[in-house]
Amino acid sequence: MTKCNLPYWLKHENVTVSKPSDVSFLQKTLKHLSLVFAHELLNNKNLNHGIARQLPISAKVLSFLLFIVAANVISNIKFLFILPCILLVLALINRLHMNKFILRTWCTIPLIVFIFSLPALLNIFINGVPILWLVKPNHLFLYGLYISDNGIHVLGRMVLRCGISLMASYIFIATTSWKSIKEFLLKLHMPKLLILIFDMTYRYIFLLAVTGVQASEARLLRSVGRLSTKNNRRFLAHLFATLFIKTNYISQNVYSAMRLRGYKQ
Amino acid sequence: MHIPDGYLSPETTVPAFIVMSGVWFVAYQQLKKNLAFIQIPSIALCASFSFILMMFNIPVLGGSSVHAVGAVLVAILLGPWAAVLVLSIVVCIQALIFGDGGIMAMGINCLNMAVIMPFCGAFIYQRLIKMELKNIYAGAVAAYIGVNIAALATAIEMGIQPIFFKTITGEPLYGFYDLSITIPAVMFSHLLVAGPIEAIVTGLTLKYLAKFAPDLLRVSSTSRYQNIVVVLIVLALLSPLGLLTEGTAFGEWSSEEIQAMIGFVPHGIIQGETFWHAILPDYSLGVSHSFASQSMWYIISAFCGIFIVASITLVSGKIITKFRHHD
Repeated sequence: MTKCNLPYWLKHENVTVSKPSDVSFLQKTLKHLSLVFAHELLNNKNLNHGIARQLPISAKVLSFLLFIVAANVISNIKFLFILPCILLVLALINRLHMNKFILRTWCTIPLIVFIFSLPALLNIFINGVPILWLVKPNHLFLYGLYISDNGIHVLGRMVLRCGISLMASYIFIATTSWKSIKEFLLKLHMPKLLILIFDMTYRYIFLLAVTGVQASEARLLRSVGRLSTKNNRRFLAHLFATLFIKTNYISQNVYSAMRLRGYKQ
Repeated sequence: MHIPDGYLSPETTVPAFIVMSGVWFVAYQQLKKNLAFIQIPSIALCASFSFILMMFNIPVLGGSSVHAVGAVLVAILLGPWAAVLVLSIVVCIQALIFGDGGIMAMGINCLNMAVIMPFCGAFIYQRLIKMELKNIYAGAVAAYIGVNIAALATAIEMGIQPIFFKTITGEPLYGFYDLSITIPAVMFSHLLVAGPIEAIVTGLTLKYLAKFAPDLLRVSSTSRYQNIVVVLIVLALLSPLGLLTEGTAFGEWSSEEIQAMIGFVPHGIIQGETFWHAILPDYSLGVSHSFASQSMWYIISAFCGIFIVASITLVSGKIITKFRHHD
């Protein structure tokens, strides 16, 4: 049996694969994006068949805007609590996937808003009646440190407003087809050119996300060993530039295809 | 930089929508006038590209995250008016589908990311290119400054909320962090993280494009008036800031104030006050003295003033040119 000299990277386990963590966030984001578009937004079969689906689009838009405006105008926290309850009932009636609904609405931006706004609870930001004393008045904290009732109201209002906005948007998008949104925009006399750009953007986000995933996967398969930060940075810049050049190339083809199908300005 | 719903009052978001409606109308007219049909798919694909770019959020200190916007890159490649529409479409899709940025806050988010950033970036890029700086450096500097100006606008919009919108007991109705917190918090992450990322992405993409697709690089054609229009709109929107100051500007005292200061009102001033009655005294109808109402009248007055001065200047300019041609 002939003896062959294996390269260094094949002899050692720890250097056989490239370290994916540096660009994995890129792949994860693009994959998530393409999945959302492929499974939920561009596929009309996935649209639910609840009551809202049967409603005319103008009624849906009006009620959607009503919820958003009401959430922003109402300042009484008790009334604000009613709105997400109504939206939750609407989601149930419309047979939306409840886990996904809660996860996509309350566990994303409202959670960040909540974390960001936590200092509002403290009397050093918003004064009010003490609800929970954290530090009694002493020489360091002359007025003490406590959670105030006004702070709870402010925090509650901000998180609820954000959550209500997301819940209303989710129900609207989940029960409305892209085609009916386009028809509604036409009814509003929005210029056809803008609707066309909007429509194309919506579809090409998915295409570009898939292209990005493919490019980063191809690079991962070709790479061996630990990649330097400089290399990763260069790859990201090249990926964005390549995406842009591909974008231009696709746009030329799209233009030719539109003209061949008889599209006129 | 995407402001979610709940942080801003309707008194801030609704005027922003009204202003943006005007900007969208002008941008659409510009697009129809200057853009060839062949560029329509390019605009849509640029919007998709910018959307992808904005999806990469990088966590920063304090639980927040920042991301590149690509507004300056799009403005350099397609021109600032096209960038207005491109970025507005992106902000709209993000708010509706991904909840990134509020629905009510869409107008103000568009103003920051789709107007202030591309126009400032394109303006700086053009100036730097005229100074014969390489496009990679010009693009990077323009992107860095552009994203930071937009971030500053965001910080100001958020920071003024607790000053003006609160209950009688002083409880903030919307955002509660004032300018002393929002400006350092937003600017710190943008000056140190988002700015350099935007600069690197823009600069390196421009370098790559210059190498492999030089035909894509063209200096956008903004007319000499377009930058002035944007500056005027921003200044008009900032005009209510004057309400924050206490007291009256030197020499602009009313007869009551003069009476309080020196004990009498000179005869000439009384005569002057009765000689002419302003249409909008103190830039308002005097119906309501709330800050929101006063701000609205300030902005309306600013736009009226700009319109009147611009009209007089244009008409007189036309008349002077006509007479010169006759001579």
